[in-house]
Amino acid sequence: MKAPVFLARLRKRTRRLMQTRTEVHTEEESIQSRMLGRLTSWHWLGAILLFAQLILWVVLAGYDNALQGTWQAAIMLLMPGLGLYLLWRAAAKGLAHRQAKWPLLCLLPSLILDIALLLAAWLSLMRQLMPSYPEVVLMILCLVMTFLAALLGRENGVAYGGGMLRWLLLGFLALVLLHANAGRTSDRLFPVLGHGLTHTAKTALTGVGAVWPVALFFVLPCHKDAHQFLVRAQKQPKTLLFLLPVFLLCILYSLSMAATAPWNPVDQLRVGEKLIALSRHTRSMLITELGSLWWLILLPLCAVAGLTSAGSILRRAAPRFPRWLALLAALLPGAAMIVLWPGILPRFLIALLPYRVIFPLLSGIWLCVLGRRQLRG
Amino acid sequence: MKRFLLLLLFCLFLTGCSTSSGEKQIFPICMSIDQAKDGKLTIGVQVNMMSSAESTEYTVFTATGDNFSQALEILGASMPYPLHFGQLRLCILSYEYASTHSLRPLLREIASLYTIRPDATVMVALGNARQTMEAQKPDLGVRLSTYLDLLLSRLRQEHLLPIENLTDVVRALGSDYGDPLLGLCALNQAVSDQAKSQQQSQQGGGGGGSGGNSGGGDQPAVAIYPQQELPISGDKETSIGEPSPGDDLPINLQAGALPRQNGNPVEYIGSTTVGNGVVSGILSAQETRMVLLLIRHSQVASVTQTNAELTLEQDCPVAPEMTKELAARLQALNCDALSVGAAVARQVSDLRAFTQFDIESIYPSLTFSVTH
Repeated sequence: MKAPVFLARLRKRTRRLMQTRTEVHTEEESIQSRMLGRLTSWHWLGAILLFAQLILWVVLAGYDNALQGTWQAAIMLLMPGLGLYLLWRAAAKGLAHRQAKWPLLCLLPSLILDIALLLAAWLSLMRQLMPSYPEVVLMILCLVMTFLAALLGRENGVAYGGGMLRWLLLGFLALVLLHANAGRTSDRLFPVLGHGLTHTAKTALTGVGAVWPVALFFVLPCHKDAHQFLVRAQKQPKTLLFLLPVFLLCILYSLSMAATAPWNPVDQLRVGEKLIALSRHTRSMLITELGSLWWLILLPLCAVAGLTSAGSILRRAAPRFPRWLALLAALLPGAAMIVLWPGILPRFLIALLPYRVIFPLLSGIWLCVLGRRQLRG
Repeated sequence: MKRFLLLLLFCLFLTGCSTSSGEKQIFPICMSIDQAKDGKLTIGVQVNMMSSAESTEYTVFTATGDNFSQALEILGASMPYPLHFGQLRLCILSYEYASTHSLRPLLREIASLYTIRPDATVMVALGNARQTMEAQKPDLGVRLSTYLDLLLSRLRQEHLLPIENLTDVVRALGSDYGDPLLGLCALNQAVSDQAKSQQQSQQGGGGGGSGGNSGGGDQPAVAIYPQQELPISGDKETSIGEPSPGDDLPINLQAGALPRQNGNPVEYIGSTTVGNGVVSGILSAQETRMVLLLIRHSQVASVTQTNAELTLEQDCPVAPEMTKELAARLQALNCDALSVGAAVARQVSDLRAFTQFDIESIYPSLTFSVTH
């Protein structure tokens, strides 16, 4: 084959790879296609946020309590997750109501707690990986990076970023899970019931707060122009198709934790140690480091996503708020927690986290009422 | 403007993961733990002298403290640069220390060091761990880290060394599912003396080394090992070179007593058993190989209060009679290397029933029956 012909074919194939998979022929089709793409990206982000909260619960609280029963507790979390999904599917109609901004404000406490948890976990991980840096420097880095990334990003930027990173995150996770149980033995999954089903169910209750991001699938995007294109969009991604795989991944992760038994609860590991403990059992330094990198991508991404969502909800309720002020207001409580009480994560925050589910419940019920009023009115 | 600010932000990542550059940190390749006087603990680290790019000169720094943390603090305080354990390959405990102190608290402390390499190998040294570590000389001009990587990997493939690393050992010691085996290393005095005499003759000095078969240094610690019949040097021509089918090893061969000349005077072959959290005995090379093969090709099918049924796979290279002997040997050393505890866990429904079974107390009195 002659060089010019080969180059021309290569250019054509490269251009084809860069193009979208769908074809459009009218402007309206183009707009609909972009809307669907945007909504799908936000759904991906919602899935990543939900996954992060579930995994943080498994690592920080679930495994210590349930041990071999962790994966059973993860299965039990399907019930509140699906329950919340059904509630918000009915509540979604209320989002069109002009008073919808007030029930959405109810989600702020859950978002703020999420941001605090993510920042604290991120800080602990940084301390674990970079112990020679003073803690103050790491704290400032986490807070400033989160704030600036949310401030400088475009309205849909964090969603597109999350969508772009999804396969990378899934790939790294798959590598860690495949290699974590290096001995390939199922011995540590037994006794199957662990401390017993009652104990496992109590452990699952502590994880109920982690399923609250199910509500975000219906809320995001929540910036000021979002509602208009939501109304105009003819096609929307199927939420269940994003939700169920997340819970399945959580169950697989819990199964891997139970089979590997990366630590003994009496060891009282540091939070950063717990995050990377599973990947330390892969017997491969490369995969151990990829496991750390996975957390280093996931935690900041989710922190920025949470902060962006919180800022958008605040601005929807109070449009006169400048963007930087809304973001700062959403960040300050979490920042205060980790700055003033560095040891807050293990002692106080984990105990508070299960109550996160109350706010989306209240918000969902409120929106259902608003939705019914809108139908009648 | 936004992109410019974001790019500026990324510059923060150019600093790397440490406040010190690589040249201003010390990367120990090996660590030793010895029992010191008055119940104290001596830790040693073996470091490359870095006199040139291809330097194979290593030196050992030691410090003594009441416990590991204190000794490490003292060691760190006396070093010009901070210690970074990201290149640690070997953690050597002296037999004297490992047989008298619970291993898990120490190893857990080592595993929780921020910079620790999680796949470091844990070994027990016959004699003084520091002297054994100091005597290591990588063969064939490679770096010690490369030498250890290659050698330990090969020995594991040959089933002459347990596969568990530091994190695996800490995990095994923290549960009743089974006990780990730790690798065994020792200084071959004959090879060491030969190397010294060669060095002296090259330098124009006289004298020669004397042969010896004990694996210890200048410590009178031989007496505390379980006495074993060691092969006499030169009695049998044995070469450990090409991968062997596994039948050629002298039965009682163990580290420190390999009948060979030249090369690294420290030998890493055989294993030590762990029972009740402390080192309880030594397995020879052949025993280690048999036990490791048994672990791989067998499973404890059922356990009662008096009997344990061990099922061998069809292609298990260990004969049933030998299996019973090995199981009895492990029982005598109170080492549950065959994971009888894990079999109990598979049989019961919850952790309470597992605790009530109390495998730790009934294990020494179990009768093993072997089936195919």
